[in-house]
Amino acid sequence: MMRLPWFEYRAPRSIGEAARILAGEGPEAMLIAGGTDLLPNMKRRQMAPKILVSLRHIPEMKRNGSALGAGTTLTEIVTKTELPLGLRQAAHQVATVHLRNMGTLGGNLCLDTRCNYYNQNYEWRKAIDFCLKKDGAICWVATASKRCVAMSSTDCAPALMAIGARVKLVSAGGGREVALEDFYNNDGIDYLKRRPDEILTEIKIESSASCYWKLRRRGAFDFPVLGVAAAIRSDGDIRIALGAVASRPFLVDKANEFLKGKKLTDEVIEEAGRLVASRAKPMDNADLDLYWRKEVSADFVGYALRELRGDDMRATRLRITRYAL
Amino acid sequence: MGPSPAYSYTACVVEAEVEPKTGWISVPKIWIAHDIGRTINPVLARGQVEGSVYMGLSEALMEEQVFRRLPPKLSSALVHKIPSLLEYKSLTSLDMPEVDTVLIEDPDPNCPFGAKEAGQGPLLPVMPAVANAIYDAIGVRIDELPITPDKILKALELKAQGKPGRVGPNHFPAVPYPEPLIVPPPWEGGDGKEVKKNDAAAVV
Ligand SMILES: Cc1cc2nc3c(=O)[nH]c(=O)nc-3n(C[C@H](O)[C@H](O)[C@H](O)COP(=O)(O)OP(=O)(O)OC[C@H]3O[C@@H](n4cnc5c(N)ncnc54)[C@H](O)[C@@H]3O)c2cc1C
Ligand code: SF4
Repeated sequence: MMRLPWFEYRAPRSIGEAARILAGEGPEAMLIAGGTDLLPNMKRRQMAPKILVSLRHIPEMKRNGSALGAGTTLTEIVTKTELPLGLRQAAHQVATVHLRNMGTLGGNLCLDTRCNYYNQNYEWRKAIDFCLKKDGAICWVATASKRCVAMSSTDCAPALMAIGARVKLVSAGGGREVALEDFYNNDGIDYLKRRPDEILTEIKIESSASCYWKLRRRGAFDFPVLGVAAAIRSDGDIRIALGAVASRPFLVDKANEFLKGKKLTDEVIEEAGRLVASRAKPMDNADLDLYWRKEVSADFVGYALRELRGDDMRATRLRITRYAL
Repeated sequence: MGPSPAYSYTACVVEAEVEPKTGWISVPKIWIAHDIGRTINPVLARGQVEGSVYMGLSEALMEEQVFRRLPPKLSSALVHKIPSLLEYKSLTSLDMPEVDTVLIEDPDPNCPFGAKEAGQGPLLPVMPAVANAIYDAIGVRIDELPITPDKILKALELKAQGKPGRVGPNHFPAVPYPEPLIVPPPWEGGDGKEVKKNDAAAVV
């Protein structure tokens, strides 16, 4: 059995108080929301923060205004029918029921990057020798690489990026707002542009027609090995974002440029699929065959754009995801 | 099967759908008829048979040991790519197809209460039935487990090039089987010891 390392637990009641604790304790302190990502990582000793600052007792983290509180659980997102469909489809496909009841949207956006050689317990990692991302000097996936290529595995980030979401970050010194696409680095270790003293408090979204398609081995439950989000913005532009094929989720500029002002005909969809597939660069550190994952990204773009166009994709969705949403 | 004193037989029918562009496999339904001898506890016995379908289908579609060799400048060692149960996948209850289970009762007089076995027997026909259903659906043969979408696409590509649409090992590995031991039963004069081959010829 893997046990948690010792840590001190703080349960502030306001965002201001949480920000002050972070500012005072420095990088020794980490935020915990649902803990569904952080606690397993701590058990495997990927991190051992001295202090955990819980966000669960802060009512402002769940606020129901025009913005979504970062502390909203994934289950709550699925049940809020007024939210964009793409976000709800993404939240619905994260992990399993229990984990969605605990896991939050903020935690999902800040999810640690993943890799088969990293998401293992301490003894296993020690046995093959540690890797760059934690305690080591080499990358087991790309042995010549100086950079960790662990994969961004958040489902909600591409869905939110496609609809143009912005996130608010608050620290003791003030706050700032950034577009979600500017929140990530393509680096498996330093994957967020968030400073250690910042709290992601809310996510600002506009309603727009959107959808999310996720590739994984089992429709019922698995981390993504490809996520395709597509949305029609209020100005009529179509945006595609990809997840799980790089160390960050990203907008596919080349395809989005091409789609500008176009009607979603079969030919346009096919060309968009080709353009997206050329940008998908999965690494051999996750499930399923690497080349196959790249190849089918065009097909998944096709599913997403067809659904966006209004085609009835329910049968395909049920076959692939096992969920009807 | 295993420690069971009798042979059980199972028939399995698998319905499979394959998406030709991605190779994606779905299995909406499985029928399984198991020759159980006599059913002593019907709920338990059906559970065993359905559990076998679950095991067989997971084996057919997912379960795999994947190793990767480290480069020579490191240690050339083989490293397990999926050492934990989060990555070593089997089906979940949500991924299970509908299963129609039939228990065939024909009590075996040599078995306790006529019951044969339920568990390992019904596991075995599932994998070949999946492979056959996929062949029936899309005309390619995958000769190894697990049967995955990338192998299907590879086989379809080979077929399109006019080659046989098959993926997997191209021959049966040479297995050095030992000579059989022949130990006749007491009513044939056996005393629990192996007999010489020449003597055994009469027995066999
Ligand atoms: C078996 C299993 C399967 C999973 N499958 C999926 C999946 O398919 N898709 C997927 O996307 N995820 C998956 N997850 C990961 C995880 O459950 C979700 O991403 C979840 O949304 C994380 O939210 P949380 O609130 O539990 O985050 P936590 O574990 O509490 O936090 C995660 C990280 O974010 C930081 N953080 C949390 N909240 C904030 C905040 N407000 N501001 C700044 N930093 C913050 C924490 O410090 C930590 O580093 C899975 C997890 C498990 C255990
Ligand atoms: S990509 Fe390389 S460095 Fe990063 S976690 Fe995997 S093995 Fe480690």
